[in-house]
Amino acid sequence: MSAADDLPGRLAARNVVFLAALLIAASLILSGFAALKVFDAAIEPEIEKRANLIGRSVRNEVENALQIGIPFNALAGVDRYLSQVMEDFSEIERITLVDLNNVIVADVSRVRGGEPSNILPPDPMAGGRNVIVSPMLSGNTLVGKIVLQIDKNFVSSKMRNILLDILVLGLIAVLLSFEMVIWTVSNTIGKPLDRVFIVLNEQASGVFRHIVRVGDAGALMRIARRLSDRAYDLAERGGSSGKLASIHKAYFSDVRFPLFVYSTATEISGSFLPIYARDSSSLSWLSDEMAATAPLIAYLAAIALVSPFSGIIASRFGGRNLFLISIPLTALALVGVGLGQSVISIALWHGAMALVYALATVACQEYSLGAANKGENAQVLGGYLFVILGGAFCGASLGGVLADRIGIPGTFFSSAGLVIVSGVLGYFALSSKLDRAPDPISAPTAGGPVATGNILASPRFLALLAGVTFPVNIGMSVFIWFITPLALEAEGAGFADIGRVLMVYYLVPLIVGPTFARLADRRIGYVPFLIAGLAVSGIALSSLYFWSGFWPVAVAVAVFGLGHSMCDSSQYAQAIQIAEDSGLHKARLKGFAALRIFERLAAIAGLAAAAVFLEAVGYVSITVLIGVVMLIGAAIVAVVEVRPGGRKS
Amino acid sequence: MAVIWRIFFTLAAINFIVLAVFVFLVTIQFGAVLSGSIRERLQVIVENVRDPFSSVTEMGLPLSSLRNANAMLQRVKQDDDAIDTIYVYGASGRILHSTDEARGQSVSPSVLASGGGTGVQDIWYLEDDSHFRVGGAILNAAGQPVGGVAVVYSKDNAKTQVRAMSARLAFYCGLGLLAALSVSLPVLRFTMRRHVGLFDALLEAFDSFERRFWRAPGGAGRPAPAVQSLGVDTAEFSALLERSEENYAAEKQRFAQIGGANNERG
Repeated sequence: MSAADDLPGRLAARNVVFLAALLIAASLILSGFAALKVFDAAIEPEIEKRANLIGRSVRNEVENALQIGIPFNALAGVDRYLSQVMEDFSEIERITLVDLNNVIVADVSRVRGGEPSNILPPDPMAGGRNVIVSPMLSGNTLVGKIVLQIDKNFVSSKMRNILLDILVLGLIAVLLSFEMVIWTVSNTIGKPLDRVFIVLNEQASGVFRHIVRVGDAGALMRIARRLSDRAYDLAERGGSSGKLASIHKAYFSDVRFPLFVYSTATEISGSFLPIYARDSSSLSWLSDEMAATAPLIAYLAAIALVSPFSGIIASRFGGRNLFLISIPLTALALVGVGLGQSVISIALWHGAMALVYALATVACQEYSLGAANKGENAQVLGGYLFVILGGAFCGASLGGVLADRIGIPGTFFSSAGLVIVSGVLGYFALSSKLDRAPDPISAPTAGGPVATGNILASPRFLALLAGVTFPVNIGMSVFIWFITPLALEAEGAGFADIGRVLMVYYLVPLIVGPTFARLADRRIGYVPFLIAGLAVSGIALSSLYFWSGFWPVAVAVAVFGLGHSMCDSSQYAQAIQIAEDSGLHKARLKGFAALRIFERLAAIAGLAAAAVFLEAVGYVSITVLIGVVMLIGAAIVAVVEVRPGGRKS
Repeated sequence: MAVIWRIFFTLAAINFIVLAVFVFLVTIQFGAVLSGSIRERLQVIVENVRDPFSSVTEMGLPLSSLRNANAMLQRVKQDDDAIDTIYVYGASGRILHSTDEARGQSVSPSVLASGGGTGVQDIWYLEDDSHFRVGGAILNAAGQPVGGVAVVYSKDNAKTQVRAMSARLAFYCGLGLLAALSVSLPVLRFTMRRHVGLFDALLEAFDSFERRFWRAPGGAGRPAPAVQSLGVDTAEFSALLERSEENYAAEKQRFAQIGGANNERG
């Protein structure tokens, strides 16, 4: 599908996705409002029971004191007792003891957001929905009453987590609808138009070898039938009707939705994997920190191991077949991680999952590049990254919510189910035939790490590896995957909160990535973008030296994500630039292969070092150190690229 | 229009899934909040029930010596229909006082393990599919546990409350979904007007092309107006149709000539 032909589908998708986002937002806002009301009404009987019980308890205690002869107006220590009751029951906003003349004998109220206090605000003693009044007797004489006031915001405070989950759910839904609408619009508008025009153009140039199946033509089926009939007629006249082939073309949109679901499923453990592994560890010889990083190291090692061969394997089996073969293996590995009773088992299964993950994603990449026309590689790779990141974003946030609700094993089993769903989608969507061979850029493994000597000798490429690839990937693996979950957990955050913070890291590149890539391509250039990205990320991490806590870490994650998105696309573009400037044979392929392998090695080395030194130096020191390394990286890139002769073009 | 309906059903399906997940999450949250509230309330009941027994044991008297203990437990039980049983058990686990016929029986090992251990003073909490069980140890003057009190609370009411809340929320979400979808259909038609217009124009151009075969020569009528939309020009489409038809006719003629030549040779 050419860029022009694809335009109607893309434009429609954009418009419809905006509509879908509005629709989902409106539905969720309405439902959220309804949920608050329904929740409030449903919990009310229980709140009343609690309040009545508290009232009875307080009344009994006070009546006991009155029965031994203490006058109602001279009860000592009653305020302290009432404060204790309020501490135990968070929905009680105020407890007041009043005598028969409506004079306040004791009054304890809660300053919202603070501890109970003895502030005595004037308050009407009228009953109401949130007020419970209970009379008090001394013997058989009425001496006063106890008034309990219930916090009106108690229910909404209980709904806070749900409302945050709704926000996450809304974002996931928008991404999901984006992929589903692209799928639908592509099948109903883009592909029918494309198929009809391909056959029509062929026939206009005198070629009658292809047909368009009526089912593939959507609303244009009458035209498709007519065009196909011509081909059938001529084939019969020529006695070759069996040789007619339907237009069976692969499209990038075929792979988007299955890949999105697959990426969501495999990234579902992002917010809790280190904690899960650490808590499953019972080995005396393995420290908690090593246990927490073990699955991540296994994951990265497996990907680094399979990366040099994945392109070859994908070419051998074909993108569709390799993706489908990977599905049951991935699901099995995820179930294995979920069942994992020990850290070794979790690490091994997670490593196994990474092996098939690498194959499945490279299969999708090969398929995408195979489906792209000449000159569309960058566009398709950008779209591919968008889908992977979108899936990772959904996976990390969905995983946090699910783990909080159904537990970690259940979350892994759910993700195995999602993997199967992605396989079913892939089975129906992916074409087994590609019109042309994949572009060689997609098979960078031909050179492998050993054959990259030439490009590795380039100071500019070395500066890129040392200044950008190493610090950025160490920052991602150590700070995002390892330190953030542990640091936030230490601050008292649950899985859902950790998931929401990590979600921001994945969300930032989704929002700003395309704009940054355009700016880097056209106006600003790759080197300034790399330097700025490293500086932004480095400052974000280093700043944790001066402040700490949940929100500082959350802000650092977001700003690090911003800096990382500035480096992400520019890094590969700069590698291409250096390779082209070098004039070396296959320098671009070798450069890409080297970059990918060094990315994994940096992440592994960073994680291993962090696990070893974490106990000795702490989270903050490691994070600050990574920040400083990033700033040094920015300086290295600046010095090498700006020096005379640093850039040939 | 088919494209609009397909997209409409896609949006409806996504929205339905999102709202279903939403109802699921709120229901789980409500269940957790309700369980927590009931547990805290039962804790107060246990503390209230335990106090008179603690007064007795702190004086060095045995738990069984408290008079009218069963009646006292019955009074507390009558405050809430969902309380199945309240019982007081000794250090051996034998039930000493109970609101039902369990007196003389032994408490389950899990209850004993939760509440009977040395130094365990806090309220304990157990939960199964049908009941909440909350209890607390009763201590003597030396701070040693000499027994405990337990409240068995039925979950039936709580489950009904959760189901009722879920059903009401699902109903309101269904109404919200219907409202949002009813608005979305006209908006979708407006958003997709260029796409629908292009498909209509292509089909009109095709009709105009086909009509020439049905009418007398020269009676093709007015050609369909050219539409340029979304990178597609229907005039170009018509031209391609004409050119391909000419090629088709030429090919047919070629085959006819080949067939004629073969017949002559035969």
